[in-house]
Amino acid sequence: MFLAAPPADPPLMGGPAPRTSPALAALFGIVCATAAGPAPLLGQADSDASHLRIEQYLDFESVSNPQISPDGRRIVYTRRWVDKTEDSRESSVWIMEADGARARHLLDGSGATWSPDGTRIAYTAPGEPSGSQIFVRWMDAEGATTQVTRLENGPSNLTWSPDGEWIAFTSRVDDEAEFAGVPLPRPPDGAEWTDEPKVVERAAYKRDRAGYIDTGWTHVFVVPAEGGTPRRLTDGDWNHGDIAWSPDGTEIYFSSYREPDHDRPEHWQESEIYAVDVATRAVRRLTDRRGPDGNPTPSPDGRLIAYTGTDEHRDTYRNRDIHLMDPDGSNVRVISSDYDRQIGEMTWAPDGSGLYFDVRREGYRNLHFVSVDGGVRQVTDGAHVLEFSSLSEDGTAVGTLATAHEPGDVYRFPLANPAERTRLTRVNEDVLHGVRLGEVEEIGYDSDEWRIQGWVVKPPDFDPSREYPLMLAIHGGPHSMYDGAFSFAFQEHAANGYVVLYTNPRGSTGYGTAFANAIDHDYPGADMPDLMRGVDELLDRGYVDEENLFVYGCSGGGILTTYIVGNTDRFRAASANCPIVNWMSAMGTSDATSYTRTFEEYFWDDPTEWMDRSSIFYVGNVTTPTMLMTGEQDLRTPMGQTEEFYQALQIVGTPTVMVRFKDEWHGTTSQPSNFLRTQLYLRKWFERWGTHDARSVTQQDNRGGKR
Amino acid sequence: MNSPLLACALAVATTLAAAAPLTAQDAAQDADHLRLEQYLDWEWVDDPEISPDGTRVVYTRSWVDRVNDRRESAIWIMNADGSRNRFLVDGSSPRWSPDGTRIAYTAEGEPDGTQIFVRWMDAEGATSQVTRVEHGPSSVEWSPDGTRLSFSMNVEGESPWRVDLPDRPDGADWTGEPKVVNRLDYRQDRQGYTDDGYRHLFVVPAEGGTPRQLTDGDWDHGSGTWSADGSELYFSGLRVENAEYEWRESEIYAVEVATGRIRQLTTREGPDGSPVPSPDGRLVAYQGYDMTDDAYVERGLYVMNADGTDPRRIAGEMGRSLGNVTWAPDASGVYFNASMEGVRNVWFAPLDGEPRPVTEGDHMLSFNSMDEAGAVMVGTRSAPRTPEDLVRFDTDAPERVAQLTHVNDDVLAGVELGEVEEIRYESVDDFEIQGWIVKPPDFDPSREYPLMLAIHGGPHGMYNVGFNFGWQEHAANGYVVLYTNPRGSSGYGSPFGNAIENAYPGRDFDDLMRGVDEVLERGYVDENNLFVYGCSGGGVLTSWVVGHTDRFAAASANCPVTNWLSFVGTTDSPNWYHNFEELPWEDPSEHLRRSPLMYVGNVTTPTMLMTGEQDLRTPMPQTEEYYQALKLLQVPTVMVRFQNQWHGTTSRPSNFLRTQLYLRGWFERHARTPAATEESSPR
Repeated sequence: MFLAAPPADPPLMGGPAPRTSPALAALFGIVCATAAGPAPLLGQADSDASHLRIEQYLDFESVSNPQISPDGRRIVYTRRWVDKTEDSRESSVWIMEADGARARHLLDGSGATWSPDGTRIAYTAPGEPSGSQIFVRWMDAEGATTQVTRLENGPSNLTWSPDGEWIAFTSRVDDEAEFAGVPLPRPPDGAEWTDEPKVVERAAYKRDRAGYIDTGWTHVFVVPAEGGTPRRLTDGDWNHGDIAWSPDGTEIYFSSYREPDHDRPEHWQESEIYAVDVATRAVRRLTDRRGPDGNPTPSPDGRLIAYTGTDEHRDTYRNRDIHLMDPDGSNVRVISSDYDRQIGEMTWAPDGSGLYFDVRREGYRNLHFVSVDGGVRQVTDGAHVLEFSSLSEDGTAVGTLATAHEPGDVYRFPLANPAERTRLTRVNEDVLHGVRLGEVEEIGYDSDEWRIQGWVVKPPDFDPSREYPLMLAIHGGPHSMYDGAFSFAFQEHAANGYVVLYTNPRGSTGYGTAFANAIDHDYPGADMPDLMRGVDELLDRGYVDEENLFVYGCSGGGILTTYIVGNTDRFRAASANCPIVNWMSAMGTSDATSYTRTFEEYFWDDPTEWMDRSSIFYVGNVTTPTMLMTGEQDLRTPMGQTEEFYQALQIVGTPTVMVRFKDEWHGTTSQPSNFLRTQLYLRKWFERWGTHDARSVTQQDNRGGKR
Repeated sequence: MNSPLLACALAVATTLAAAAPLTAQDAAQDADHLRLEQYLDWEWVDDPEISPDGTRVVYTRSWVDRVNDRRESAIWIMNADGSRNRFLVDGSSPRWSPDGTRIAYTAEGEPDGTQIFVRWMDAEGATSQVTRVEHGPSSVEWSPDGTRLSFSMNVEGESPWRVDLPDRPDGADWTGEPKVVNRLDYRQDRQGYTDDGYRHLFVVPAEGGTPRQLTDGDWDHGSGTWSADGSELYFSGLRVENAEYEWRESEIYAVEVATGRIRQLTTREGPDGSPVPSPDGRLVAYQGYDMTDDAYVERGLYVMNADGTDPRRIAGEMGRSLGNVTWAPDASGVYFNASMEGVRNVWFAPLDGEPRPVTEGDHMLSFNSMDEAGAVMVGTRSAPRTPEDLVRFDTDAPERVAQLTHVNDDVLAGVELGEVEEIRYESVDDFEIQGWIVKPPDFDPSREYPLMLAIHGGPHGMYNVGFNFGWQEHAANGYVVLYTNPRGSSGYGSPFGNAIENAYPGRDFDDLMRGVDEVLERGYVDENNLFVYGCSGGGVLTSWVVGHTDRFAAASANCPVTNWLSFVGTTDSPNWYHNFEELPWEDPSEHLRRSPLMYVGNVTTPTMLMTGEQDLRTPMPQTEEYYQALKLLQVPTVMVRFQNQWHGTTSRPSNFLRTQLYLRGWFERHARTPAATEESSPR
């Protein structure tokens, strides 16, 4: 979405649950960011193999981004697995017939997209002389493959021109800090002097998972699809993103904020839609209101441009609306009316009658349609997470779909009859063969005037007459949504004898702007009762051991965990992972600086709100043993936040331990082995302080696991 | 433990050096001012050790390795009159055996890392590596009979809290295990993590053999000093439960070398340390003070009987701590180095009576060692226009100081240095403040020069009269440099040092501003081109200054603390919590009141920030917090993040150069009347 574009939504505090919204694009997701497709549960008798074992995580695979060819005959998709030797996640592009037959490896690379005529695919892969490059592969029997760029900085957002002659993309153009560099004396030949200092001049200079982002500006380029010299279409000290070709191929639409004072703090939300003439490089601006406008999506006949945006606001959260305008920027109107849900990437219906898009709401994800005449209707239906990714000329849609007990696989369905789904892959059937998963139950309960949605994962062989230890998991964001999709992490905790509860307290997305914005100037705080009522709800059911309640979360969930232990002693132990504990120090050190715009005042003018909302000011109350786990490279909730809470707990005399993960940005699970460690340290801490019998459950039912 | 609060964290450009008389001749305009690249030719001498018979001196000589961008050092030797000065061996910390036949020193050895070596100081010069240990030994001391060496070394503790991962394939290259931290105090600037074990005392035969560990337990032990009869080692530590929570507490112990039995000698509340037994074995000299909440207290010098009875103070209020406390051979008293009022000299404290100065003068003179007879001392001396060199003097004629080395005469030949003038002035609350002015070479009092105000760190530190390359080089580029010791500085008595208790920053700001006023009144400073900078405590004050006045044309707040609330939990010592009346979560008002960040809304002065990426004392987030606030407020700023730097920005030679150049680059960029600097600059 806005990743490469300038002022985006407040980048917020790391996404939460599996498959988060585009705005939070996979910043992370503590647990189960990497869920994968499982299989039907053939609960069989072999007790050694019947529970999910942690080492099976290393065998999990996932599929994503299925792209159906324009003629509807073939599907390319990305298949991902764990490299157990290098401790990394690897992926490559696979291909299959549209009915799922002949699934096979196609090439090593990513981001494959079909040319409009279906004769070629473009994709990125490591190339010559170095780094990521654009390749074009002919999809005939010969399969000739050409590297079409030799860029110094990797390309993104590959987009075919309508005639298939060009590929547009975005790439960084290097730029140095103006003040950098001093006239040092000349070093001797062969000298190895300390590197130059990093000189920072911009307001926004770093981003989690990227590092420094002030080393240049992202611009729009086109390159001949047969190879050649990329031509840069935009210039200036601005970032450009969200590119889309006009159907006649003369212009490329994009979003940016090409104003001299673009980085002034009051413009933190701003973005506008522009068009650049491919022949002349003339740029014209189409939108001009205060507030973010982005994702320009021209209609097939070129007569309309759909986009998303909203008026400038100071809410902590607001859903954007779908707009239409004429290609000259006139005749702006909203067609999603009061739909008020988070809009995913939009795809025009071939007949131009409206647009398809995914919506994550009420805990699930389904395909929706908005008519050019206004009005949103739901296209698919079900308690699942369906990620739509492409459409063929004949109206066949492909995407991935996951349910509570089934990791994601590739599916297809006709738009005319969306209930007629066909499952095309089964990448984890082998792993889950014979594994009895825990039951996942959706729950709902009232908290103040709100209705809260959540899920309970129960141990396999669940016996309602027993009392189980409970883990309360809290998502990040805070504006994100736990959903009902398969979670390896929760299932693996359940397989070790825990009941796992995860809910969407107020502040979560998917329930409308009012619900998400209910934590405006009250985060953490307003959401805590929703979390506690969820625990009460489970206690009422009688199968949870009140003496062994545990709580954890990362990012926004870490914030809430530190806040919770400062405000209740009901939990036996807690793990606050990648938290922010002091908004005042976070403001200047996190890459999500704009989030702090949601406070009423600068804290140097009035720190009251900042202190009310910072867990460090409640640490004197904490008696709950509280572990902290954070990545050493975290730029979103930097290690200093964790250290502040750790050192304070030490001074207060509350049991604590700080686990500093290697090779991790925000979150603790991006390396496969760190995912395993996160699971294991969590239970180790809970078992150290708990009085429950989880370990015996673990060992008795899980004898087959290597320990 | 007794870690002094901000252990003189650093003062930008502390790297002094030894210089030469100024034979200002050589009309070549190009060569007569100090040039920045000459820093790479600089040499340093330190740690001279005179042989027991007073005939020879071994010392450490350091220089810049211009290829590898670091400072290298080696052990040199010369006759006690300075003649036959020559390289001896690669290594450091040489110590003569009591009989003068050998030296012990440390150097890189087999299988790897620092090891202890013993070299016979005869014509053959045979050298033996006497340890093969895994963790670098330090504080090597000869036993009185010369048969053994004691040393300190880290002993690894229990393995960290781990989880059992599933089996991995052969040859797998998995992400490293997380660092698991569960101690209160777990890291230290310039070292990194310090929680992997505890420091213990060892002895090893001086002819080589197996080191024997004398102390045990989960405590750190200070360096050992031998009792006169060689039966015990004295050390300081705190061998109590939860020792890490005991702020400012330490005691003196003795461990019996034969049995490892430990006895405790001191018991009072408050820190006691640095034990030095008397030559006759009857007394132990040590330093400490009664427990206090004061932010600053100067240590007293004490003696007690060897069994710990009859502790009594024989000197006090002589600077922050006393250097190299050494008994006179007749045990009538102790010699030591005291740093007060901007100078350092050698003093003698008799067992009865008042301490008296041994040397006098406006210099930084300290002795490092004394011969067996107590007749000759060798040490180092530096003065405003004289870089540090080795000196010697007789204890009965200390006014005759002989300079033994001239390691920078070659560099400074033909260089005209700036004049350094001491000033004293009245500030608010009737405090008298001491400071110094460095003037450009060819200073012309009828002109107006741009002024740099340099602020030291600590805050309990002391600027002094020692030669300073950094300031001389700024002066050579046309700046007047002012540096002062505002309240809070050490060396002016406990009340002066403690005047910033619960008020730092505070009226030290007034002391600094009065100093600027004082120089302005002299008429040779351009009021429109005042600049201010400092690192560490000086960075704190710089960020405070720009929040309280707009008189400076530009500022550079280096390695600052800007937000005490976040600082107390992220710096390398938990002791900073004690610097405030209340814990922040009980009442943050003092933390807020004293945080420069809370005044950032007033700042209009263009303010650069320079900090080391590895800083654990004033970690980078303190810099980032201030940088981001300045950006939000659209005050001109730049953040310069130094590579390969812990606290400070000058420990790598090239980073010292960069610090000088970025500083002037920023000041010249924001000069209100740029002509003045350019005209006077040699470039």
